[in-house]
Amino acid sequence: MKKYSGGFKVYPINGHFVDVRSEEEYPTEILIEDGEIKHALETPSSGIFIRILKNNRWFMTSTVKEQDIKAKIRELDELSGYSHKETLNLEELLNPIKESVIKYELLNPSKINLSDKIELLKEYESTIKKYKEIETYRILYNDKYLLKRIKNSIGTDVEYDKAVCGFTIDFRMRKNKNTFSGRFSLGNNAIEHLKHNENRLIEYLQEAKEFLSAKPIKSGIYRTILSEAVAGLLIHEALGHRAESDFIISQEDNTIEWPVGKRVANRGVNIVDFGGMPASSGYSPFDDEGFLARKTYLIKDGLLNSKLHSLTTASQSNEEPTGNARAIDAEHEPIVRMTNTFIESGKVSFKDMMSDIKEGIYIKTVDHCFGISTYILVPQMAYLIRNGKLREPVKISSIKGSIFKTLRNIEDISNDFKLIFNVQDGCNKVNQKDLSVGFGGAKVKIKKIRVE
Amino acid sequence: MIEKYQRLINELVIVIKNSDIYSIKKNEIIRRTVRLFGKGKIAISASKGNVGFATIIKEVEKNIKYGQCYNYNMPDDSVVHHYFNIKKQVSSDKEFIKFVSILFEKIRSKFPDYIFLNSIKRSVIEKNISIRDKSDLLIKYHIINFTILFKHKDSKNIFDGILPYIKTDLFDADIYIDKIGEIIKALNNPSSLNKFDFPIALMNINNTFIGKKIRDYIVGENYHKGNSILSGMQCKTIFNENINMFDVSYYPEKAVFNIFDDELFIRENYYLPIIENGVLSNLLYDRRTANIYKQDPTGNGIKPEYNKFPQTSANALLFRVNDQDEIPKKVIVPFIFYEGNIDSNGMFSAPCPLAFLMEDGKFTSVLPQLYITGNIFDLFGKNFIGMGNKYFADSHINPFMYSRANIVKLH
Repeated sequence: MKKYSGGFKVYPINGHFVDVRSEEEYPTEILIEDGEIKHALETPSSGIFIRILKNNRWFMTSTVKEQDIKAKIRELDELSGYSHKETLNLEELLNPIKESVIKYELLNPSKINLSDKIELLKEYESTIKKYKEIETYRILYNDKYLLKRIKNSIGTDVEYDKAVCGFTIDFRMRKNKNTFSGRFSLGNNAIEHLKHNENRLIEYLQEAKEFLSAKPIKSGIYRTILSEAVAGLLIHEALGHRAESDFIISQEDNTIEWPVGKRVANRGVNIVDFGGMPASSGYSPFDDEGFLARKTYLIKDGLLNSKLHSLTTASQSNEEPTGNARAIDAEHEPIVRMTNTFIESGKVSFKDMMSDIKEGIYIKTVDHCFGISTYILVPQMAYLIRNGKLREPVKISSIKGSIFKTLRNIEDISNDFKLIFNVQDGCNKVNQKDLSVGFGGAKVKIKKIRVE
Repeated sequence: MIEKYQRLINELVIVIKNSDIYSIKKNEIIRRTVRLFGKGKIAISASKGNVGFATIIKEVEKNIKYGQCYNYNMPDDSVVHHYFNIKKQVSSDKEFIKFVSILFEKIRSKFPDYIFLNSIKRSVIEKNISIRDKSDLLIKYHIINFTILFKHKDSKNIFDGILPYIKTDLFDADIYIDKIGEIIKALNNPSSLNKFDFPIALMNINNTFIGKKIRDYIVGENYHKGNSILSGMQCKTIFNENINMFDVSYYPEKAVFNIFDDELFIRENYYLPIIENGVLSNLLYDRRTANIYKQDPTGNGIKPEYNKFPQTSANALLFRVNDQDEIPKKVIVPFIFYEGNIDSNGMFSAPCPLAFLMEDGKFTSVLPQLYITGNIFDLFGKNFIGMGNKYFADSHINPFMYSRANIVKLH
């Protein structure tokens, strides 16, 4: 099945740094809408991305054949030609490593028949069909086996594989004039783990039915608890993107936008990005420049800490690379991206978090969230908390705020931990869409948040 | 019956960071898709990279049993071959890189306090669809996307300004720099306004979140399923009687090149009227939905991605220019809209992190972050003032549209 031997050699050209990344991917997608299979697709692809660094500029191209690599490097060397002072020294930052982390071959979902995958979805579909309130639904299944190898001209040679699979059921329920649009998702490394979870779906649908009679909340400022999924997405969108160094472009004084050491939250608030967690959708043991994944604290004990870097941004800022240079496929260059971004657990149980709230809100699931620094979050399932107890479901149109104000208002962090395994909703940045990332962590309690 | 689809893109991408060339990428991107029609079902298979059609056909034959049902007509057996070559004179890679280098040298010296960034892309795109090896459509065109973002070197924002440019040919560098200068002058002059009781001027409504929602509302299937706020309003007056809106499939001057859709449908009229004098006159259909709702296809069967079935999608929405309208002298221009919500009654709300005050057609000052709310039927109805004949960017398909909404400070 392997398309590339990985035997290609990578040498410097005229003294310039070169790196080459080969990728093979074997994805499947199945879409079922209101009882009809809309498509069942297997679209294997492969490609090789090539870069040379010359005169402080990257020259890049891609090919599909291993034997074309040498010629492509020569072409790139000829394409350059505008002189520029060389200041980037990647060799100083990169310790060449040779390592192979192939561990998902046995779980490779592309070896499982399409008919078995459809059968799996049909089982969940039969549960959906039992609910007369559901007027329309859509089941989207995706899996992928990915094989990557990264080599460079200073001796790095790493390879790894990754397997992900999962599905999302989007549906709309109706009772008279009231509707509720919900989403149930499952994701894992192994298809086996997607089976026999119908009870979780039933539980979710029963809960969703309660929202058909939910009343809109009165706008105002509330003490609010965000679930792992909601807090994780908020952190990803509003803080994580801000931490990506290629977004922070000021060349004069980088500390303006990310003043390291500044207190932005209470003690005990730790926010991390780490690609090295195997059972996660953001798993990336090496980034696409061959740099080993490492745990990067964006916020450590309430203080602003490290940004996320590629080799280039680290070199420009005189900081360490963080293993966050990632590309969506072999046609694209690595740019600074998150992997798994999460809030580390605290010490309080969910029950205790609610205990001193007279009137507040628990936001359990989110429809979407956007905005960097200033954010708008549109909840899906939210509950009123009254006198320390979780009460009736409520409708919330949106919550909005500034991430740094929200961080300062974090009162408590729960003692549980849940990383959301995202198979469908990837991260979008510039023209590179749907990159696999993970987010989540613990629940957070926020002193005041504007709810509408 | 087999339909073969191929999209070939040769692109040169120049990434600008810190007002200079950061990287240069040369890519050949190939996407191939096969749709197999047989026994009442259509299956699809596709590939990224240079995978031959024979391999993809084998794949799709294997999966035909999982295809979607179809009972509508594809083009008949008559032989149709159309080749549309709209490729302009393409500069060499080195010439293009040199143009960009020189332009940014000028920009750096003219605006030393500002940092410029984004990707500049020059693409030659070739799309080919054939069916039964008899009907065969091919279009080849050339696009330059020179949209640039910029920010003050001390700004805490991701960016402060943007100058969009998507066209088939390069521009005059001095005019481009002047336009940047106008925005920067306004950025350097923050407004002290606290009340925002001015009309709004929406730039190229097609690209705003409101335009994107309208694109969904006029999709026939959404309309008939009750998923559009316009459902049940066909042939009724929905907007101001001065509003005429078209779905435009081919407008090369504005880089719209859908002469044929992804189901081999060539429109007789590239300008399909959707709203005529405020009345919702037509909706959009691909071949499948046209069959379901007993309508004619409108040439809007467009693949959302190379490996997906075509589905109904608008091309570009063009609002007819009416330069007879009196244009307000002082207006608020929402420059960047975040994605906002529109509810089932047409109420919308959206944060606007960047807005300018425009006086006599010139940006004069930057406004604080705003929050804009209103009702879409009022925006295009009783509050509608008119379409101007002034375009913010030469590449925009629509000029400024003037109306009224509720505007407050975001914080």
